[in-house]
Amino acid sequence: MPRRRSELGRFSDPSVLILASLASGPRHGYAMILDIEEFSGTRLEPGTLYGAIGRLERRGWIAPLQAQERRRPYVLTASGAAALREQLPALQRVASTGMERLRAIRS
Amino acid sequence: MNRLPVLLAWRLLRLYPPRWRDRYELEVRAVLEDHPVRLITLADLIAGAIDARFDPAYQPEEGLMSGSKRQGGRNDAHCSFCGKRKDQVRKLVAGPGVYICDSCIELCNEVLAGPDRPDDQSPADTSQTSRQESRGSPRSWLRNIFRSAVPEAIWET
Repeated sequence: MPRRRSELGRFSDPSVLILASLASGPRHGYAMILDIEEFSGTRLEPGTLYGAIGRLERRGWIAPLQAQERRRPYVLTASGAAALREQLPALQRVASTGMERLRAIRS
Repeated sequence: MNRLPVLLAWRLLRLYPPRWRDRYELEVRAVLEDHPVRLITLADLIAGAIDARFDPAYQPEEGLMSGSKRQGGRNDAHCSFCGKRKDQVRKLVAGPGVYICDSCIELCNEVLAGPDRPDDQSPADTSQTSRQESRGSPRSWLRNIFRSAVPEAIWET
């Protein structure tokens, strides 16, 4: 699994955000930026977003749909959902460990 | 609404490799119309372009120099600036190890006809040498596109 993640290069974190955004349904680029900002507070810039989209698409974790005018929506694939399911518990562990350790500092 | 930042961001998309541009440029242009373009947006596009340039998935099927060395394969010739193939352009002019299409020549003419950068001390000593050094290597070719893409829009401010 670590190897799998490293293949996503410097876009590994945006990748998780994109997968999580598409987990609620297909979205085009700008809709992803807005959704990700809303649920994570991270504002992805288009260069980073499309770097990650390219990698996720090549891995088969997301797939492009028919473009509507110039906006092309992307959809989460079954393997993308499986990859997200695999990565989220690790992130949760990081978050809960961090919170626990912070509590120890405060007390 | 000031369109200049959006136009500048669109210009920066020229830094991306041709294969990336074929696939994503229109989409990203659409995003840039909705997304507020700030300095960080421009810096991020430049970083993305560098990343894409190093990404094997967006490399041309044959290397830039190896392709031009293989002079027998003139049908494979493509513009060294925008990456379009011979059959996609009106005219393709061959140089020593490089090609340039009619659209890119037009763009170069626009750039050269535009106003000089205010910080240029002496156009005579810089432009001459930079033009000479800018032929041939992929690095100088990228630098050339960058120069033509970035400063021109800034001059208009």
